[in-house]
Amino acid sequence: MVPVYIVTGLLDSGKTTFIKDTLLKQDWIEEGVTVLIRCEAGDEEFDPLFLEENEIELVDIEDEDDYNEAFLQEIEDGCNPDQVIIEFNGMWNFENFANTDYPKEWAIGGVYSTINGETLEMYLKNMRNMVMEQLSDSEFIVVNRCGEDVDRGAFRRALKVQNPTTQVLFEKPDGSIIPPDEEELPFDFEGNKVVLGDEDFGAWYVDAFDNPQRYENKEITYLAQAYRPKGMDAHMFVPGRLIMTCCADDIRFYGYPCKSKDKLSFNPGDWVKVTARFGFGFVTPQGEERPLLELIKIKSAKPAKDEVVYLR
Amino acid sequence: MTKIDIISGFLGAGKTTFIKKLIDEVYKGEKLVLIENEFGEIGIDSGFLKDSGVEITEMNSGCICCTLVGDFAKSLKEVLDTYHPDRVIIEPSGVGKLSDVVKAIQDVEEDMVIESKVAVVDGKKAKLYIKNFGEFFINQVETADTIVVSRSQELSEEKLKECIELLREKNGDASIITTPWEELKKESILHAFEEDTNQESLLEDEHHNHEHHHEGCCCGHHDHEEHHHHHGEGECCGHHEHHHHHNHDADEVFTSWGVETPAKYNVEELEAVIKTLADSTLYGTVLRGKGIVQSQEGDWKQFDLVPGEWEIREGSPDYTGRICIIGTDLKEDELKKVFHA
Repeated sequence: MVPVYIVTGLLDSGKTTFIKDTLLKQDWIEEGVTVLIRCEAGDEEFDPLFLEENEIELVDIEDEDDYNEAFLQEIEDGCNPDQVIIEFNGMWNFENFANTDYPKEWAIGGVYSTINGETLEMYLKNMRNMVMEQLSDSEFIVVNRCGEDVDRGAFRRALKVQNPTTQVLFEKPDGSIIPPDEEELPFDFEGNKVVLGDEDFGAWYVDAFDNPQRYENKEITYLAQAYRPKGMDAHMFVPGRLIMTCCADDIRFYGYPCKSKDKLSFNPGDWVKVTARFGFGFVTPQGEERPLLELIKIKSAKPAKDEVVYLR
Repeated sequence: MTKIDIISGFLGAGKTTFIKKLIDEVYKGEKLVLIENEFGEIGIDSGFLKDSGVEITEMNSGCICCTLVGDFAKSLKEVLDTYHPDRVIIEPSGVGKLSDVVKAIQDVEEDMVIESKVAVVDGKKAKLYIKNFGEFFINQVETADTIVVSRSQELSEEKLKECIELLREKNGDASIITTPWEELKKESILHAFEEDTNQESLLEDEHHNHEHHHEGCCCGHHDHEEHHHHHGEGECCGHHEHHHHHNHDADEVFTSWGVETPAKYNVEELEAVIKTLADSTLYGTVLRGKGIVQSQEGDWKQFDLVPGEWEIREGSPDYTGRICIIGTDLKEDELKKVFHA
């Protein structure tokens, strides 16, 4: 199999530097011919000598419409690569790109992304879905040149909701790594009882996914809407909220399942104030283990001022 | 009738700074409304707007998949009905097409007219953006009738010229403002804006000979007296109904050659060229020449010439360097060369 490594990110986010300093250096790449497909021609260039020494073939593609199955097959036939790196153009439609089939010999080896922290907040405010869409398949995301203005916690949580298994790394402008524990949560999780504000559900949901041990056996109290998916036992329900990660199109209901001693009946979407003990033991149909809540208290409640929780 | 200015440009290009300049210097005294569909690096603080008497309407869409162009029409209609302003400045989303915004606005049936379609382009990034951004960015450059280059002072003359050439490839008609913004005066900005409203007639005339009693070329002149001339002048100035009536009487056929250029001139070399133009027929029979250009020292030089007479004096910055030569049998390629245009 020919592994394909994909690097996404907007112009000037540091894709080429990532390819040079990480992908091509640290034994990531096997011996043999590497084809580097560049969908974008940024500031950083490759030294021809370096390319030659490392058996790297550059293939530049400018027009989005030219990127298709035939184009990739031609590369397979013409270069017979041992591995492929694709530098994505951050302004292209990511869905079309991701839906383009690779030659049958190829298989995705990894998807990585780079982000320029200097422009992140501005880009998020104005073209959020363009920034976010191309990060949806990434297993590793580096946010470089990160200043104080970047709300790292909020951005990490937004990424996590979109793609729970992604790893996010923040770097300071000097290139040093910012430890994740410096991110602030909008609520206090230190005591045995954690009470969430009406807008904090999204932040808690994501943090509990990443750091479940932080909440083990604690009592969590929050405002939620109650739903019971089809087929779920009458002793179980999901107290959760509608979360918006990008825009109105991607509002979805999120929550952890909760079991109760008694059978519960309610109308879908009823607003409730729940207190539940955080634990483990829920297994999804896909076999993944998820947190499981145990109901302590529930009562009906007034709807939240804003039905939707934002991860911004 | 309400005038509409649309200030487009990619994120970080400097739209907000340019708009501030427009509000503060160019449109002072007008009843203004600003419609923003973008949240820039620099917010326009409400104090500034209050002092300027500007109403501000924010369109809270934030992400382009939710940014319906239709919203513009709606916001604009509301603004016009509520405030009856002299002018509305619109800052659309930086990743949208300017032509879409123009179309949406044209569909609004109100008493208004689009006066300026501006694209603000970061001079340092134009090349990269043209190459990699594709449609929306190129659409902004193509649709604009004035292109404002930001951060031009941070570019070498050579890079700036390269940038202008790339922009020219996409848009041959627009006036391109290359002068650093700190030096830009109200008159120069208005001049650049004005030019574009007449681009069509300008183009029509470009390679034609026309009958004429050119009294001069308005390049770089903004005082009252010169303004009067406007209506009787060469194509570099962009106005002039009478150019539509070409007179093909061979005896009176003049050509005019005009150019916009960000080039910085060596004053001695410029003098030599002007002198040659005035005193010889090396570049054709020159009847009249006028220009305002930047010197290598950074100040601006204005020149005038008629056969046998020429003058170079200090000038005030225009939006870019501009030259206009009128005569017969002008050797345009040669002129281009000597003026480094």
